[in-house]
Amino acid sequence: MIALGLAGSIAYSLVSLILGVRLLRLARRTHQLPELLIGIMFISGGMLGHTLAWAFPFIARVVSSPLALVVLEFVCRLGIAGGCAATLVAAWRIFRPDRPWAGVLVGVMVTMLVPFVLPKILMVGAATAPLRVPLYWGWSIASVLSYGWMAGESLNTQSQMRRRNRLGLGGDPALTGRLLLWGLGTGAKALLFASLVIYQILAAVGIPARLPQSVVVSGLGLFCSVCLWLAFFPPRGSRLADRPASAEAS
Amino acid sequence: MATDSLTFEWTSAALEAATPFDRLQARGTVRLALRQAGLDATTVTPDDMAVVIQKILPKELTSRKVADAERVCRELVLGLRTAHLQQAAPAGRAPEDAFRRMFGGAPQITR
Repeated sequence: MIALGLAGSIAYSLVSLILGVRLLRLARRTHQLPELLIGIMFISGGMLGHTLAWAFPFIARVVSSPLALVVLEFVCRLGIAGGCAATLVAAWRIFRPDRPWAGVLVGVMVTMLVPFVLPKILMVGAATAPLRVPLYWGWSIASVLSYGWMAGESLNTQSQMRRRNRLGLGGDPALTGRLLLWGLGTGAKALLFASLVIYQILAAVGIPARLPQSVVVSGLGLFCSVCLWLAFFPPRGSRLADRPASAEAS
Repeated sequence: MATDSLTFEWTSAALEAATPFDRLQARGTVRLALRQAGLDATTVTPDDMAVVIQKILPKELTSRKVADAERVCRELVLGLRTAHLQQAAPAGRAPEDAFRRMFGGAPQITR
């Protein structure tokens, strides 16, 4: 069960590392904001924050220094919050750069993420009943919304592209398919954050969950990893690939 | 705040003149047709608009009880082609460009 629970988390950490490095290297060449922000999203939120989150119980068994654990938790939270913040800014700058409301929304959401980094200072006594603390809801909403917004905008853009493809208006079916995978992947990540809140609520009201939280998180992590990987590295010869096999042969 | 493209403005005005629609109805009808085609009023080009007028607008006009919708659309396309409107900047589809770059440069298919 532990291995099953870890499979998706490890997969997401590895995919985040590979895609993050790839995008940050691309950003160094192109000097463009989208690849920089999405690269930070993967490295900060996925590789650093997500990895430390699932590895923390194992690290805590071998690290005895309380200070080291506090620092690790801080780095983990900073990574997750950084990933969410980068995703929010990316969604704004890629999809709604000329909409003032989007900038305001990002400002509010990033502010709501700040207490997540320093919960022990800002939320004294909240560890036992976080659902009663407004700050908990603030960062929970911000984290779900960050990836949820990215997913929604991506799926909406993909839907517009599909309609244009159907009319023959400069379509790019491969990109349309890959954007669908990107939208599904980031949507799964939003659901992953939402599942953490749902499990908190279930525990608070005393309803037993049918599936262990680790399995749900791992399943969503695995689905997210597969979607994101295929978006960036589609199988050769598939309709998602840059050059279909038939085109290469010719 | 992005403003509607010259192509959208021209088509809406021409539709208003060719039908009993008022300004609001004409603009709303064109906007709906563009949405069905996955296009945006701020970035639509004359070429794309011509396709929308030919393939989507006739049905929209017929459903709004406009007489001889096909003829109205033919005249709109003809007018659009002779109006020599400027093409919208390609930056209008920035999300696609960004993801094309990030995913690794899938070739852009142009008409």
